[in-house]
Amino acid sequence: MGKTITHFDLKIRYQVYRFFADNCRAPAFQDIADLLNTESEKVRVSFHKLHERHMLFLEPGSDSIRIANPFSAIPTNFKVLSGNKSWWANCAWDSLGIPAALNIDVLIEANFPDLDDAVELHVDHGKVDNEQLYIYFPLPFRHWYDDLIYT
Amino acid sequence: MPAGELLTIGQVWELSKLWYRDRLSPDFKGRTIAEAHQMFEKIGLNTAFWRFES
Repeated sequence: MGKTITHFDLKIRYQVYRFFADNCRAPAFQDIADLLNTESEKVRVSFHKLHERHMLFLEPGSDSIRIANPFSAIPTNFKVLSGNKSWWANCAWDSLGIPAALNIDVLIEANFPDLDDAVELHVDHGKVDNEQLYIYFPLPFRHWYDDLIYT
Repeated sequence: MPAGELLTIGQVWELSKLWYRDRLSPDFKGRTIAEAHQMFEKIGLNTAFWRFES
């Protein structure tokens, strides 16, 4: 495990999440450096520290954010819409994680191309519909961080 | 690898509210395994699948 997480790293983490929520996309380290008027190299290093601590997840071998749970930087089968905004979630659970994190009402469009099927869910005033449907968790908790993309 | 688990949408929504409610807070510092276990237990997820130790 890497270096100690500092107050600066936690500030970077918060700004990444704020940026994702506000702009519906992952920030580059330069975006955060510009926002905070700080050196981009410090932010780049912080991204890697946060990655080592599972507080966000970088594309392998890069400085680019792939995952800041529940947000995905790349399109997935789980789209979450609210007003004029939409985000990609990493999985079915994270599609409910976005309205939980942002405390908003949403429409979730879940597509299952292998089954040629799609499901819509609504979160409305803190309640979710289709409560009787199931979500499958393939991996036990102790293996969630072995390969986060698969999880 | 053990088999996975099925949760209802209602259960996952309850878990999501616990797991993600503070993710947009500037004070979020991650969570310990013990804290994660407490969240699981709060909504009745008590099996070995939801424990970090094997």
